[in-house]
This record gives sequence, C-alpha cells and structure tokens, in this order.
Amino acid sequence: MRCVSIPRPGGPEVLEVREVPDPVPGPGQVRVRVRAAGLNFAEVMARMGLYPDAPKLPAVMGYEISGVVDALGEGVGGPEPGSRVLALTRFGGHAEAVVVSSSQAVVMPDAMTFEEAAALPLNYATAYHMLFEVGHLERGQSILVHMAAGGVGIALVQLARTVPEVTIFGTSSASKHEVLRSEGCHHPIDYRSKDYAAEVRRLTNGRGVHLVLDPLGGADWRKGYALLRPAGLLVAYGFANIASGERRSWFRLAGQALRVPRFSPLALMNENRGLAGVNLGHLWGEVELLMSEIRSVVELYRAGAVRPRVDSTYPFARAADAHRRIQERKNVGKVLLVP
Amino acid sequence: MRSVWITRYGGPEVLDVRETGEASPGPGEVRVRVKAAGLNFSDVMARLGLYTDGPKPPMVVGYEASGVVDALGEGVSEVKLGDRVLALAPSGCQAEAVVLPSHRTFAMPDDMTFEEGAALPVNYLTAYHVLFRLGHLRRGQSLLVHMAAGGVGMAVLQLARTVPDVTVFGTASAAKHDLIRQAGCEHPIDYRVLDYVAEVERLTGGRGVDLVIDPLGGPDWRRGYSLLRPAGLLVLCGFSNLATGERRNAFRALWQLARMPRFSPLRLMNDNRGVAGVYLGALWDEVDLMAGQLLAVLELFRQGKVRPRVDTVFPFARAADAHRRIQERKNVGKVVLVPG
Repeated sequence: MRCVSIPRPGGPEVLEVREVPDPVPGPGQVRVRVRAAGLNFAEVMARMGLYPDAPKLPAVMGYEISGVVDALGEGVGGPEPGSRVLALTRFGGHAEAVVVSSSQAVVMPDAMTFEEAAALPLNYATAYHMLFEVGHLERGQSILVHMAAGGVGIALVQLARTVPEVTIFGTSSASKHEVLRSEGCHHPIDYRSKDYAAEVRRLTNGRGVHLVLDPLGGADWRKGYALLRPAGLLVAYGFANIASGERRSWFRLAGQALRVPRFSPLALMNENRGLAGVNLGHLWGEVELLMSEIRSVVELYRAGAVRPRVDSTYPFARAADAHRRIQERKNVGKVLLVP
Repeated sequence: MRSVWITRYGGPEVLDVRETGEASPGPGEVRVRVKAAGLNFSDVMARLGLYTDGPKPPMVVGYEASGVVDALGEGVSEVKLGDRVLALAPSGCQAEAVVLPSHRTFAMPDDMTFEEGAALPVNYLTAYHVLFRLGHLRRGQSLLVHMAAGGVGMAVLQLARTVPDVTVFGTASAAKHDLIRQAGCEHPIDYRVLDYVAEVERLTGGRGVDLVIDPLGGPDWRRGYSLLRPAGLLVLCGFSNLATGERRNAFRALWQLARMPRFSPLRLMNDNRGVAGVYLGALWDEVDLMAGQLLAVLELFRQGKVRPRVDTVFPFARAADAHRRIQERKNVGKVVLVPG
C-alpha cells in the first residue's frame, strides 16, 4: 500500500509517498481500507519537528480516517467487513490501509460521506471534550473561539449552537466571516485589523465571556484569561503561535515560550477563574472517553445538528500542498488526504 | 442593635459586641431580624487581616443569616413581613438585624430550623458551585475533599451523594472519621498520620481522582494537582494553611506563599488537567448564578437529600470562642452565632 511519509523535519517539500506492505489486523483489530484521512495542525508541527509526541522520523502521521472494513482480526465480532466506518488511530492514518482496535471504529450514518467522516473524529472529539467535559457550556452563556474557521473552530461553533441561547465570538481573518456567520458564529472578529480583546469587551459591555478556547498560546493565553467572567474558564489546546512560518524558528519559539503566562492560585481564587489544558494526543489512555464523545457527535450528526465542513481534498501525491494550506491558515474547515 | 465587631486585626480577643443604631430598609430592600448567623473560615481570615481587599476594621462581617423579615422598603412585594428567610450579604450578618436587597433573601422551608438556615448558604453554595458548576460531577467519578468534616466539607459529602456511584476520599483527623463516613465519605484519611497523596494513590491503584477540592493552599495545591486523572480538576477554595495560629504570622505566611505552585497553560495542556479558583465573596454580583444554585440546594433540602450539620451555637458575647473553635479545626459542621 502507499502512504505519506515524513522522512525528516523540514518544509512541506520533505513529504513523500512511499510503498509499504499492507498491515495485518491482530486480535481485537480491524483493517480499514482508507477512503479519506484528516490532516491536522499536529501533523504540520510534527513535520517541522515541533511536535514532541510524534513518533521518531521517518513516520507516517494521521489520526483519523474513514473507509471500509476489509479484514477482521481474531475475536472481532464487528464491524462486519464491508461496513463504512470512521476511526481514530494513533498515527499511520495517511495510508491506503490502517489497522485499528475494533472499539475505535464507529459505523457511519448512511447520509455521511467519507470526506465528512474523515473530517469528524479529532476536531469534533476535541471540541466536544472542551465544551462538555472540561468546560460545562450551559444555556445563556458566551464563548470566544479562536481560529474559528479552522477545523476545531467550526466544530466548536456547531456544537455550541446545540445549547440554547449561547453567544459565540470567533476570531478569523475577514475573508472567512461569511462562512463563520453561516455556521452560527454571532460575532466574527478580524484579529488582523482589530484588537479582539477590546472588541469582545465592547460587545459584552465589559462583562467578558464564560469560556475561551485558545489554540494560539503564548501571550494570547493571558489576553483570553483577562476576558473571563466570574466562574469562567480558559481552555488552552494548542500553541499555533510557534508555527506561523514554514520552518522551525528557534527565535520565534523562544519568544513565544517566554510569553507563556504562569498563573497564581491566589489570582485564580480571587477572580473566580479557571484554566484547563487539553491535548488529545495525551488522552490515548482514555480512549473509551474519546470514543464515547465521538459517538455523541455522530448522534448529533444524525439529528442534523452538526456537519463537518470539508475545506479541500488532496491526493497523497499533493500532501505538501495540503500542509501549506493549513500552515498558511487558508483553510475553512478540514483539509483531507485521499489515496 | 448589637453586632459582633472586629475592632482591629488580631487574635480572637479583638472581637467585641457593640450597640449601634438600626438601619431602615430603602427602596427594594428588606430588614431581617437575625435569629442565627453563620461563621466561616473567611471571617477568621478577615479578623487576622489576611484579606487584603476586604473592608478594614472596625467592621462587622458575616455573609449569611436566617431570621424573620420585620421591615419592608418601598416597592418590595415578593417578601412579606414575618417571612422566615435566609439572607445573603457581602458583610454585616453577624448582627441583630441586617438590611439587604429583597432578592438576596430566600424563603426557608418550613421544617428548617434557624440554625440550619444560617448554616446553609455559604457552605452549600460553595459546595454546589464546586461540584456542579466548576466541576461537573457525574456517575462513576471520584473526588478528594480536604477538611471533610468542616462546613464546606460536609456539604460536599452530602451533595456528592446525590450522584450515583461517586467515590469520595476525605481528609480529617481520626476522631471525625465516623461522622464523615456516615455523611458519605467512603475513604476517610487521617492526614495527621498518613500521607494523603500516597493513600489516595494506593486506594485508586495509582489512577488518582477526577476532582480535588482544596481549601488548604500552599504546597497542598501542588500535591492535589498531582493526584488528578486526565480531564481532572483541582479546585482552589481557600488558604487555611495561612491561618493555623491564632495571630497573623508573617513568617508562616511567606513560607506557605513560597511553596505555592504557579500554573502554566502549557503544563496543563501536557497533563490534560484543569485548575479553578472559587471565592464566593467575589461572586455577589453574579446574582442569577447564586440564586439558581441556592434554590437548587433548598429543593434538595425539601427532598431530604441534604441537611446542614450544626456543630455548635455561640451567643454573640462568646464570638471569640466560636472563632477559636473554627481556627483550631475542632468543628464538625457549622459554627453558628446567635444574638443570645
């Protein structure tokens, strides 16, 4: 089978398509013939050598796929061969075939396309986990979503809309505001032309928001924290600010790292505020929790409440362009790779 | 009317009962004739001068009271003269009468005593907020609560019991273990004899807990953080380690502060953990949030699921003894002041 390999750290040009033997499902596993695979910021970071949890290079990345089950390992009752499934996988998803534990494959609703299915697991599990497991979004609350037009951003907007009377602020460049509005974001903010913190304060009459979801990191974490209402929570789930160029820059890295705030418990107490971190890559020990969150999202899809948005689809041979699209933050929704 | 005054920062002896004129309710306000007032650890901290942003002595503290409405301001219709109510105020409840906006009073259930009423608001609001607003305790989860036999601790135990299959670890001295076990603490831990971190790790097979509720502060916050499972939350709800002696002790305070952890989002991300603070005194403006939670607790009282435990009742004249009882951590449940 063919797969997209990262042979060494570097720019998008290092990616290469390689031929390797098909994997064989072991006990409790199924093999899925991949129809589409999701690409995430984490894989871009891994390619730059900035992702500490990536496997040693050379490696095949990819955490999520959709496809058709074509072989069962010993002791597996289902899903049956021929089933259309979406699955979480720890690496290896950017390939023509993937072997996963049968408990990590969920049968797709009939109406769901393979592209939608590959766009769902990571973004929606992350979003669901942050809004409903770590956070506690309730009727009438307000949230600020950064990179709102990105994969997790759109998932957050759609999932937040399933709670009545939630007000959503989202940052993105102006060209994406129409899309954001159509997804249900009440107040798109162009972070390039406006200070988003001042804008959120203005729009909330200085009251701020209940929940800030921040994958930017560095100094933005402090800005977001300052926007929290009493009993509010800042959820940090990424550090995109360190990867804004195509290559690793130690200078930028150091600058951003120095601007990571450290919060005093006394301030958290006096201000009635909270902080939480989410890194799905470190939740493989809780894969049952993640799968139950994904199943909840699939139910919401069936009910018509969420629909993964696909930005673009690239064949394996053009994986470098797919990386560039994410890294330059041009995508609105998910970037997919297809065999 | 008589009130309990903190005349200056210091030991319990700075407390004094003084007579002052009685206030009349303004528009939208009511006056409550106080039958009982709750005493909290934060009042001890205020007496010691450990709240830098609080009012300055001489002052009357007290967040909560129960009593009977005896005067109505203009435009008040939802409360009547003679109503038995709970009262919540930013300060001033440790007095024979308190004047406050009518929406800060709540009708008491018929079978609730005034002592129970005074014991309920702060502890149960804190516990409810921590368990169900900051955390969201669900079936099958586990939690560690410190000072489990204290006012907030007992409220946490009772409220946690309303959720099925929750495993509760609680620290308290051995003499209080029977009581907290009855209240729903499955694993009482005597923190004076055992290292509670090692004990929780042992009992959970190294997995830790979903929620740690820590009013101790300083190095305990670090230890509690280390016990969290993925997606777990450490709730910071006090710093009683600062106030273990009768008087303010700058050396101990500095030592505690120096060993206090600071939290970086990067670290939290790496660990999939959260940290949140709660200070009820700064939540007074979140009236809807507070009211909703208090009404939820009162409903649980009506259903017989929670019942505030009163430790002791002291007349105003013995307020110093009441402070000592809390500060020495002798109480099991609430210490209540009555005009006497």
